[in-house]
Amino acid sequence: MKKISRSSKIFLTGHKGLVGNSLLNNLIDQGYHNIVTKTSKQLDLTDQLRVKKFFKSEKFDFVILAAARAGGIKANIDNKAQFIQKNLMIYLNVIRFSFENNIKNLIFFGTNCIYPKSSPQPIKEKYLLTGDLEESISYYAIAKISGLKLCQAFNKQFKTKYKVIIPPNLYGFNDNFNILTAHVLPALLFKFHNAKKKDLKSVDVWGNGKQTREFLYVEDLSGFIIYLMQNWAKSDNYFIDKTYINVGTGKETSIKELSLKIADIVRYKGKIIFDKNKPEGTPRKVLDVSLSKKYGWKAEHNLEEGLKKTYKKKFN
Amino acid sequence: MNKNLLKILICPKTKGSLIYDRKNQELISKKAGLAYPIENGIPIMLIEKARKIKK
Repeated sequence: MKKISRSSKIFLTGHKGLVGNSLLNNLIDQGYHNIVTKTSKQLDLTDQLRVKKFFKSEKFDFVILAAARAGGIKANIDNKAQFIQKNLMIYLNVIRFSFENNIKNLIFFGTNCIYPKSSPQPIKEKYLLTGDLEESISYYAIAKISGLKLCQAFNKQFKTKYKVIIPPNLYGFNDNFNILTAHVLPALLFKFHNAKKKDLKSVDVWGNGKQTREFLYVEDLSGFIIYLMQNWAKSDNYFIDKTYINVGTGKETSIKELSLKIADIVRYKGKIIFDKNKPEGTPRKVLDVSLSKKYGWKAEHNLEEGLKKTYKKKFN
Repeated sequence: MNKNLLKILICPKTKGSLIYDRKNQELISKKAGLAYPIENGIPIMLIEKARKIKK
């Protein structure tokens, strides 16, 4: 089996996004110098014919599928059709043409919202497809699950090594901070920073604050990917069906706790108002990360450290 | 709590099987002497949150 070396020709999709951008920087730092990236204008991954021609002409050794049409809860609610359609098309094109061009090694990203909304907590990999999905993100989740099953099918039938990484909520400075379309952490960072700057009396937080989430600093996710690339063969022993694994901190934080931590970092002293009429999503989500620990990796940053770095880089 | 999920759930302490107590909304591990709570339909499989029961 071909190893992934620093001279492997890597196609990194989604390099402008939160995950892809962090990965690109980390890969370059680690000496991977043969990386090809394309913006969506340069290569529309939903365009089957273009993707087919591109893969045929480039002869990649390794593919990282970090591209997606993603967003926070409101973006998911308002764009159901786009979220399922675009994501299905991207994943199908990239994974299929990787296979058809004899690329044996690939990394795809799942998300913790692929697990049932009433999953036992912490969420183990084997709980996949054992219950209903949370409705608001079910369209995105189904596309991600389809991508995962596609990787699993190729692995089982053709002995490829298409690995699927399941992270929890990710955060970092190269994120979407638009308060209507962003995920909760960047949205709150923006809101609190804005309130501090404009001396506003209060900040409104969606939901009653009791929902819990797990937050992983994106630089830690990149650290895992580098570790995976350097321990590629060994991963078979720790990934479910040699295909997928949870990667996270294994720690849960309530939205209320998150709000208080952010207020503290930003030094905002005003009121925090929880709006129960706004969407709040799944009640509880924390991953069981014992497999990734057994594999030999653990997150470096806790939430305070990651928040401080993100805030400093984005707003200061 | 569906049957299929119950089949794959294990006690985090003993890795053994669990009994579903529908009335009290708990998952019992006789071997560990622990009862894991089910909050709003979500089983909380954390040893520190489990109630100790007589073995």
